[in-house]
Amino acid sequence: MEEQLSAIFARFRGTAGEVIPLLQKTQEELGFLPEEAMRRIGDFAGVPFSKVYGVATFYTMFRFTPVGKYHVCVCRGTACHVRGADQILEHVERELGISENETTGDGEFSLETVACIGCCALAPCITVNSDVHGRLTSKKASQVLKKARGAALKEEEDGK
Amino acid sequence: METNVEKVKITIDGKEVLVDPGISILEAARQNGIHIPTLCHHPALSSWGGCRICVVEVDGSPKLAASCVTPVRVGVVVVTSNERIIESRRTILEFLFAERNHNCMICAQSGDCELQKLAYELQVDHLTVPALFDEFPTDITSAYLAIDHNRCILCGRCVRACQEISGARVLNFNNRGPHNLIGLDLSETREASTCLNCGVCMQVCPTGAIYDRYRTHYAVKGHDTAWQTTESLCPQCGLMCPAIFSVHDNTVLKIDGKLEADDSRPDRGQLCYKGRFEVLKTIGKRLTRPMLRNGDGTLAEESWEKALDLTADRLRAATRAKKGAAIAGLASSMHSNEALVFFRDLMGRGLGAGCIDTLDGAHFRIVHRAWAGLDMPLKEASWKMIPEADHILIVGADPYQTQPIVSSLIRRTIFENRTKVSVIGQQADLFPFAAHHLPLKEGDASLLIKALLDEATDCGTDDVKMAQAAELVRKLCLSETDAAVFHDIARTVSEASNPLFITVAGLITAADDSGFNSLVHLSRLKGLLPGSTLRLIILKPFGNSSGAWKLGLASEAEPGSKGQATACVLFLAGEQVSDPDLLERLTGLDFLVVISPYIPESLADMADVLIPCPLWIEEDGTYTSLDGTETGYKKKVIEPPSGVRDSWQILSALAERTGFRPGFDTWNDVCKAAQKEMGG
Ligand code: SF4
Ligand code: SF4
Ligand code: SF4
Ligand code: FES
Ligand code: FES
Repeated sequence: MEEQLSAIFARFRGTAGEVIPLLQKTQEELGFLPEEAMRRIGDFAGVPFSKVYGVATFYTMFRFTPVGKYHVCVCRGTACHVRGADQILEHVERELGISENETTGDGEFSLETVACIGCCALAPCITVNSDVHGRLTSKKASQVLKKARGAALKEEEDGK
Repeated sequence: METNVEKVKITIDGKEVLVDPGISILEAARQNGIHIPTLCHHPALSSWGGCRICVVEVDGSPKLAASCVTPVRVGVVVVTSNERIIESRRTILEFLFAERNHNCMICAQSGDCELQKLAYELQVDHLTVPALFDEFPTDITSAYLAIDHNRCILCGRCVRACQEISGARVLNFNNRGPHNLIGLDLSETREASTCLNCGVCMQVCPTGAIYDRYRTHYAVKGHDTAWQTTESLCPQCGLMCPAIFSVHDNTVLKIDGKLEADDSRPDRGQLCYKGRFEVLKTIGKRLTRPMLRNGDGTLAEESWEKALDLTADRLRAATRAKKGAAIAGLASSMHSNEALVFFRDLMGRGLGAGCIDTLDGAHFRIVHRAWAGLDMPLKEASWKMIPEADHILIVGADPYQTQPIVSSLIRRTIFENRTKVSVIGQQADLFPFAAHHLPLKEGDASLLIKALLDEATDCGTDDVKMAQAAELVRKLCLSETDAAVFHDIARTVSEASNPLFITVAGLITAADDSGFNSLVHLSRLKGLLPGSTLRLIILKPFGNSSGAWKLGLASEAEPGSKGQATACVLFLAGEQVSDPDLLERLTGLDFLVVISPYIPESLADMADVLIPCPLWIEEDGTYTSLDGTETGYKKKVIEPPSGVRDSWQILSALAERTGFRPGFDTWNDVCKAAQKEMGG
């Protein structure tokens, strides 16, 4: 992490106004915002820790736990909500054994909710990494997750 | 002198008034005796305009305006109260009550809560919206103050106070929407965070969300209208912070900082954990009656007359038996100048004591010796200089322990001015913010400062000196990283144009004080401050160390160098004695009398007489500032426990019984004597 942060900081001047871009770049690089990274950003930008954390927790784009290999976003936008997003979320949570904003113990899946992915016509929908899956039912959602899990297993076997 | 600003004519509640331009409608109303309720607004803080309880009608506009953030305009017509306004305020208040748990009956703040008062004022006696609150966490990890998020109304006063007054910038809003919470640092517990426990956030919190862990439940102590307040100062460290004591039933309920104080003090009216909280703590059992050692070796209560008679007899006998050195007088530097002057004269002129010293005499002797070799009077810099410095070097001192406001001022300067701070030694609470941190190994101080002196004053110019410095650094066996930090500190010192050095006498052992001398030289080489003042702040261990030292209470010679005393008068001010050297000095005496507010636990087997005296909140007296230049009057806040006499009365009675005429017959006389000696 140390090296990655140094490389990021090298591109900034270390001013208070740079906190958000610093957080963004760090998350891009590390996948999430570890506590130590936020402290380093505070030191570097001359900004108190409380400020870094306040900003980071205000924006939903920042996360504080690593994302899984498969990052699942359940849409809770208006269209999806009307078409049963809550049930989909509940189902996905049960299937994966984690709640919103958590990551499975094996690091394979992480779960997050978002407001509108922009394909309301397909509501209710979820994304797994960059793939959108629409017109979901509980059953279909299970299939999507199963497929992802299968792919993961396969990769592992291929690796062997 | 004041430039004549054109006043602005406005109309509030039908009344035409002239007000200063640029002020808020709220201020204008208050100046004219019109009440507008507020919650997120606090006069000592910047305005935020977040809660909207202060709404008023401006020029009949259908949209109500938050008066705390709306500036006055020429000719504006303001209505501060009508049905629509009251309704709007009531709704806001109801939402606040519904949002979190405000069960006043079991809240420690009940009786002194702005939210509660507003509910009474606006007659909110039930909620028309369902109470939807979740359960939020409570953090009681600090020994001083707790935060119960269930009582928080997210007004943000604490966040602003921590930033603007304390300067520690520990607090902020975390998350958003219904998950919005006040958080410390990266959402840590108070103990794990960088909070300084100054309690400013607690003072400005309008609810019971941030509360005092020492305090008696207000509900038990009655409503705040029944209390008296006394404005005085905190004498505990030499910074003499103005403090407002709320008292009921002869009990101190809380101590507030004077936030709206003038700007002569850069601390902006904060108090520290000692001034705000530790006063409320008792550190032992109070002594309320004199005690004498009986034939069977136990201590038993005795009348004042008997105790004073016996003490006087024994002291006189000791003097007779062994001329001169027989008696030692030892005082705490927490006493007022008046008590100290009287004690000094009674012991010296009255009883011919061979040794008069203070509990912090060792510190004094180090400073004194360092000065003896110099050709200038000891003039230390004031802590008020801190915000102006461009570099602060702390050597061995730990202001958070001794003068906590110094440490919060340093923190604020780091954030506000990006001042570079270098810490050599221990000051854990500054580590995350300091530019440099170099550990200080026991016994290395002198060498390290000498090396710093050589390297910083001749950085790159004098090859011989640089080589010397390099040699010294080698001797220190610093690790590679530490050596790099060392060189960087030296460079920062040499480049600084307005540096300040902060240290403590206790840093140097009595045997080797050359490091202290080097530091004095270093600060001298950086140029004196106006008034031939050194760029050096010497932190002292007791509240009135400067006063005691100036009054000659601390002994210049090592105690005991004039022969062993056989009797000792120990004049404590609320501390327990734990210093092994001192305990050693007190063993084997023929006679030991201890004048103390508390039963001195560690001396219970040694003392022959115990005489109760008041704590500092129970007596008047003047104190001298850390740098020795200012004097402050500390008022009595509460009465001492019944049966306890004033220090002045105790010392007078002893003078009378030993046949000594001190030259002051009244308390006023002592005050004058002390004032004269302090040069006031
Ligand atoms: S106690 Fe002082 S330092 Fe700590 S959070 Fe409150 S205002 Fe900030
Ligand atoms: S803790 Fe107190 S001061 Fe801070 S936001 Fe909550 S209610 Fe306001
Ligand atoms: S800094 Fe000193 S004077 Fe001020 S409140 Fe704390 S102990 Fe008292
Ligand atoms: S609401 Fe779900 S995609 Fe728009
Ligand atoms: S007091 Fe004016 S908006 Fe809160």
